[in-house]
Amino acid sequence: MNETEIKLFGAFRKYMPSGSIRVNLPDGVTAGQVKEMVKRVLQQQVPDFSDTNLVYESALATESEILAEDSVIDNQSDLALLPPVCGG
Amino acid sequence: MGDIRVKVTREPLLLTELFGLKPDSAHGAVNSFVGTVRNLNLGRNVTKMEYDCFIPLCEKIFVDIACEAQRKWCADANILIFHRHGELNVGDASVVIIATTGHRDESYRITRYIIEEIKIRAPIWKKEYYQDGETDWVRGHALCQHRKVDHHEHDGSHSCGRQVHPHETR
Repeated sequence: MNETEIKLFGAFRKYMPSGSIRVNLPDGVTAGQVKEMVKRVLQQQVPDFSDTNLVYESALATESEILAEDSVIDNQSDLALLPPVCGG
Repeated sequence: MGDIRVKVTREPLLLTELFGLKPDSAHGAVNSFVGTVRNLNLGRNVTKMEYDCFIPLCEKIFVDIACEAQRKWCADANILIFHRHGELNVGDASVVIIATTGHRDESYRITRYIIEEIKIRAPIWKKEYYQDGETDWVRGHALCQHRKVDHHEHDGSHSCGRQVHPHETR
Protein backbone atom coordinates (compact mmCIF):
# COMPACT_ATOMS: atom_id res chain seq x y z
CA MET A 1 0.00 0.00 0.00
CA ASN A 2 1.56 3.30 -1.10
CA GLU A 3 0.17 6.73 -0.29
CA THR A 4 0.27 8.61 -3.57
CA GLU A 5 -0.56 12.17 -4.55
CA ILE A 6 -2.80 12.55 -7.57
CA LYS A 7 -2.91 15.96 -9.24
CA LEU A 8 -6.33 17.33 -10.16
CA PHE A 9 -7.07 19.87 -12.89
CA GLY A 10 -9.86 21.90 -14.43
CA ALA A 11 -13.30 21.40 -12.91
CA PHE A 12 -11.84 19.28 -10.11
CA ARG A 13 -10.30 22.44 -8.68
CA LYS A 14 -13.70 23.77 -7.59
CA TYR A 15 -13.98 20.75 -5.29
CA MET A 16 -10.31 20.49 -4.31
CA PRO A 17 -8.69 23.94 -4.65
CA SER A 18 -5.33 22.56 -3.52
CA GLY A 19 -5.16 20.76 -6.86
CA SER A 20 -4.28 17.34 -5.48
CA ILE A 21 -5.61 14.46 -3.45
CA ARG A 22 -3.85 11.66 -1.58
CA VAL A 23 -4.93 8.04 -1.87
CA ASN A 24 -3.52 4.72 -0.71
CA LEU A 25 -2.84 2.59 -3.74
CA PRO A 26 -2.53 -1.16 -3.26
CA ASP A 27 -0.06 -3.09 -5.39
CA GLY A 28 -1.43 -4.07 -8.77
CA VAL A 29 -4.19 -1.44 -8.82
CA THR A 30 -5.42 -0.38 -12.27
CA ALA A 31 -6.09 3.13 -13.57
CA GLY A 32 -9.83 2.45 -13.56
CA GLN A 33 -9.68 1.38 -9.92
CA VAL A 34 -7.72 4.51 -9.03
CA LYS A 35 -10.49 6.62 -10.53
CA GLU A 36 -13.03 4.82 -8.32
CA MET A 37 -10.82 5.51 -5.29
CA VAL A 38 -10.56 9.20 -6.18
CA LYS A 39 -14.34 9.36 -6.54
CA ARG A 40 -14.84 7.87 -3.07
CA VAL A 41 -12.32 10.23 -1.46
CA LEU A 42 -14.01 13.23 -3.07
CA GLN A 43 -17.40 12.02 -1.86
CA GLN A 44 -16.00 11.63 1.67
CA GLN A 45 -14.08 14.90 1.82
CA VAL A 46 -16.20 17.28 -0.25
CA PRO A 47 -19.81 17.54 0.96
CA ASP A 48 -21.15 19.14 -2.25
CA PHE A 49 -19.39 16.76 -4.64
CA SER A 50 -21.97 14.90 -6.71
CA ASP A 51 -20.48 15.12 -10.22
CA THR A 52 -19.39 11.49 -10.46
CA ASN A 53 -19.57 11.70 -14.27
CA LEU A 54 -16.64 14.11 -14.10
CA VAL A 55 -14.53 11.28 -12.69
CA TYR A 56 -15.77 8.71 -15.18
CA GLU A 57 -15.14 11.07 -18.13
CA SER A 58 -11.59 11.75 -16.90
CA ALA A 59 -8.38 9.95 -17.78
CA LEU A 60 -5.59 8.99 -15.45
CA ALA A 61 -2.20 10.05 -16.78
CA THR A 62 1.46 10.41 -15.96
CA GLU A 63 3.70 13.25 -17.11
CA SER A 64 4.39 11.30 -20.30
CA GLU A 65 1.26 9.34 -21.22
CA ILE A 66 -2.46 8.85 -20.82
CA LEU A 67 -3.20 5.52 -19.18
CA ALA A 68 -5.75 2.95 -20.30
CA GLU A 69 -8.38 1.94 -17.74
CA ASP A 70 -6.73 -1.47 -17.34
CA SER A 71 -3.18 -0.15 -17.01
CA VAL A 72 -1.55 -1.38 -13.83
CA ILE A 73 -0.15 1.44 -11.70
CA ASP A 74 3.35 0.53 -10.63
CA ASN A 75 5.29 2.90 -8.38
CA GLN A 76 4.00 5.98 -10.16
CA SER A 77 4.71 9.25 -8.39
CA ASP A 78 3.44 11.62 -11.06
CA LEU A 79 -0.23 10.66 -11.46
CA ALA A 80 -2.84 13.15 -12.59
CA LEU A 81 -6.57 12.90 -13.22
CA LEU A 82 -7.46 14.82 -16.38
CA PRO A 83 -11.07 15.89 -17.00
CA PRO A 84 -12.34 16.54 -20.56
CA VAL A 85 -10.08 19.11 -22.21
CA CYS A 86 -10.72 22.38 -24.08
CA GLY A 87 -7.47 24.04 -25.07
CA GLY A 88 -6.96 26.71 -27.68
CA MET B 1 14.13 17.80 -41.02
CA GLY B 2 12.16 20.74 -39.77
CA ASP B 3 12.49 22.42 -36.39
CA ILE B 4 9.81 22.13 -33.66
CA ARG B 5 9.44 24.65 -30.82
CA VAL B 6 6.77 24.29 -28.12
CA LYS B 7 6.06 26.19 -24.91
CA VAL B 8 3.36 26.57 -22.27
CA THR B 9 3.89 29.87 -20.51
CA ARG B 10 2.34 32.42 -18.16
CA GLU B 11 4.05 35.20 -20.10
CA PRO B 12 2.11 37.17 -22.74
CA LEU B 13 2.55 35.88 -26.28
CA LEU B 14 4.23 38.76 -28.08
CA LEU B 15 3.31 38.36 -31.70
CA THR B 16 6.05 40.66 -32.95
CA GLU B 17 8.67 38.31 -31.49
CA LEU B 18 6.94 35.19 -32.74
CA PHE B 19 6.82 36.46 -36.28
CA GLY B 20 10.59 36.70 -36.16
CA LEU B 21 10.57 32.95 -36.88
CA LYS B 22 12.75 32.56 -39.96
CA PRO B 23 11.69 30.14 -42.68
CA ASP B 24 14.30 28.02 -44.42
CA SER B 25 15.56 29.39 -47.72
CA ALA B 26 13.56 26.61 -49.41
CA HIS B 27 10.36 27.77 -47.69
CA GLY B 28 7.95 30.04 -49.51
CA ALA B 29 5.15 30.15 -46.93
CA VAL B 30 4.78 31.23 -43.29
CA ASN B 31 1.32 30.54 -41.93
CA SER B 32 0.06 31.45 -38.46
CA PHE B 33 -2.99 30.84 -36.33
CA VAL B 34 -3.62 32.96 -33.24
CA GLY B 35 -6.42 32.06 -30.82
CA THR B 36 -7.68 34.90 -28.62
CA VAL B 37 -10.03 35.18 -25.64
CA ARG B 38 -13.55 36.03 -26.83
CA ASN B 39 -15.96 38.21 -24.85
CA LEU B 40 -18.98 35.96 -25.43
CA ASN B 41 -19.62 32.24 -24.99
CA LEU B 42 -23.02 30.54 -25.28
CA GLY B 43 -24.77 33.86 -24.82
CA ARG B 44 -22.88 34.88 -21.67
CA ASN B 45 -20.57 37.87 -21.48
CA VAL B 46 -17.05 36.74 -20.60
CA THR B 47 -14.77 39.21 -18.82
CA LYS B 48 -11.63 37.07 -18.48
CA MET B 49 -10.39 33.50 -18.74
CA GLU B 50 -8.21 31.28 -16.58
CA TYR B 51 -6.25 28.48 -18.27
CA ASP B 52 -5.17 25.40 -16.32
CA CYS B 53 -2.63 22.99 -17.79
CA PHE B 54 -0.75 19.77 -17.01
CA ILE B 55 2.41 21.21 -18.53
CA PRO B 56 4.80 18.24 -18.90
CA LEU B 57 2.28 16.07 -20.72
CA CYS B 58 0.92 19.04 -22.67
CA GLU B 59 4.31 19.94 -24.14
CA LYS B 60 4.90 16.31 -25.10
CA ILE B 61 1.54 16.19 -26.84
CA PHE B 62 2.31 19.44 -28.69
CA VAL B 63 5.49 17.83 -30.02
CA ASP B 64 3.60 14.67 -30.92
CA ILE B 65 1.01 16.64 -32.90
CA ALA B 66 3.71 18.67 -34.66
CA CYS B 67 5.54 15.48 -35.66
CA GLU B 68 2.31 14.06 -37.05
CA ALA B 69 1.78 17.19 -39.11
CA GLN B 70 5.29 16.98 -40.53
CA ARG B 71 4.76 13.33 -41.46
CA LYS B 72 1.42 14.11 -43.13
CA TRP B 73 2.37 17.16 -45.17
CA CYS B 74 5.93 18.41 -44.99
CA ALA B 75 8.86 16.70 -43.25
CA ASP B 76 10.97 19.86 -43.24
CA ALA B 77 8.25 22.18 -41.94
CA ASN B 78 9.33 24.43 -39.07
CA ILE B 79 6.57 24.47 -36.48
CA LEU B 80 6.04 26.63 -33.41
CA ILE B 81 3.29 26.02 -30.84
CA PHE B 82 3.03 28.38 -27.85
CA HIS B 83 0.09 28.30 -25.41
CA ARG B 84 -0.70 30.45 -22.39
CA HIS B 85 -1.80 29.34 -18.95
CA GLY B 86 -2.94 31.42 -16.01
CA GLU B 87 -5.30 34.40 -16.24
CA LEU B 88 -5.97 36.11 -19.59
CA ASN B 89 -8.08 39.11 -20.47
CA VAL B 90 -10.48 39.39 -23.38
CA GLY B 91 -8.46 39.86 -26.57
CA ASP B 92 -5.28 38.27 -25.22
CA ALA B 93 -3.64 35.63 -27.38
CA SER B 94 -4.12 32.20 -25.79
CA VAL B 95 -2.38 30.12 -28.45
CA VAL B 96 -0.06 30.81 -31.37
CA ILE B 97 0.77 28.25 -34.06
CA ILE B 98 3.20 29.03 -36.88
CA ALA B 99 4.30 26.75 -39.72
CA THR B 100 6.88 27.54 -42.38
CA THR B 101 6.82 25.26 -45.44
CA GLY B 102 7.83 25.08 -49.06
CA HIS B 103 4.38 25.94 -50.37
CA ARG B 104 1.27 27.58 -48.94
CA ASP B 105 -1.08 24.59 -49.08
CA GLU B 106 0.77 22.49 -46.51
CA SER B 107 1.28 25.48 -44.23
CA TYR B 108 -2.50 26.05 -44.09
CA ARG B 109 -3.14 22.34 -43.53
CA ILE B 110 -0.55 22.07 -40.78
CA THR B 111 -1.79 25.03 -38.71
CA ARG B 112 -5.42 23.87 -39.07
CA TYR B 113 -4.54 20.30 -38.09
CA ILE B 114 -2.59 21.42 -35.05
CA ILE B 115 -5.27 23.67 -33.55
CA GLU B 116 -7.99 21.05 -34.10
CA GLU B 117 -5.87 18.36 -32.43
CA ILE B 118 -4.91 20.64 -29.53
CA LYS B 119 -8.58 21.17 -28.76
CA ILE B 120 -9.26 17.47 -28.27
CA ARG B 121 -5.89 16.13 -27.06
CA ALA B 122 -3.92 18.72 -25.08
CA PRO B 123 -4.45 18.65 -21.27
CA ILE B 124 -5.66 22.25 -21.02
CA TRP B 125 -8.80 23.57 -19.29
CA LYS B 126 -10.59 26.93 -19.32
CA LYS B 127 -12.43 28.68 -16.52
CA GLU B 128 -14.66 31.51 -17.72
CA TYR B 129 -15.41 34.59 -15.61
CA TYR B 130 -18.75 36.18 -16.49
CA GLN B 131 -19.99 39.73 -16.27
CA ASP B 132 -22.57 38.72 -13.63
CA GLY B 133 -19.77 37.57 -11.30
CA GLU B 134 -20.26 33.83 -11.83
CA THR B 135 -17.54 31.47 -13.05
CA ASP B 136 -17.59 28.08 -14.73
CA TRP B 137 -15.13 25.51 -16.08
CA VAL B 138 -15.79 24.82 -19.76
CA ARG B 139 -16.77 21.19 -20.36
CA GLY B 140 -14.65 19.76 -23.19
CA HIS B 141 -13.56 16.53 -24.87
CA ALA B 142 -12.75 13.37 -22.93
CA LEU B 143 -9.19 12.15 -23.43
CA CYS B 144 -8.57 8.67 -24.84
CA GLN B 145 -5.69 6.36 -24.05
CA HIS B 146 -5.16 5.57 -27.74
CA ARG B 147 -3.96 9.14 -28.10
CA LYS B 148 -1.12 8.46 -25.66
CA VAL B 149 2.31 9.97 -26.11
CA ASP B 150 5.18 7.59 -26.72
CA HIS B 151 6.89 7.53 -23.32
CA HIS B 152 10.15 6.40 -24.92
CA GLU B 153 10.47 9.93 -26.32
CA HIS B 154 11.57 11.57 -23.08
CA ASP B 155 15.17 12.19 -24.16
CA GLY B 156 14.34 15.06 -26.50
CA SER B 157 14.33 12.83 -29.58
CA HIS B 158 10.82 12.12 -30.85
CA SER B 159 9.36 9.56 -33.18
CA CYS B 160 9.82 11.88 -36.14
CA GLY B 161 13.56 11.65 -35.50
CA ARG B 162 14.47 15.21 -34.62
CA GLN B 163 15.46 17.21 -31.60
CA VAL B 164 12.84 19.55 -30.22
CA HIS B 165 13.14 22.63 -28.09
CA PRO B 166 10.62 22.81 -25.27
CA HIS B 167 10.97 26.12 -23.48
CA GLU B 168 11.06 26.24 -19.72
CA THR B 169 9.13 29.44 -19.06
CA ARG B 170 6.24 28.41 -16.79
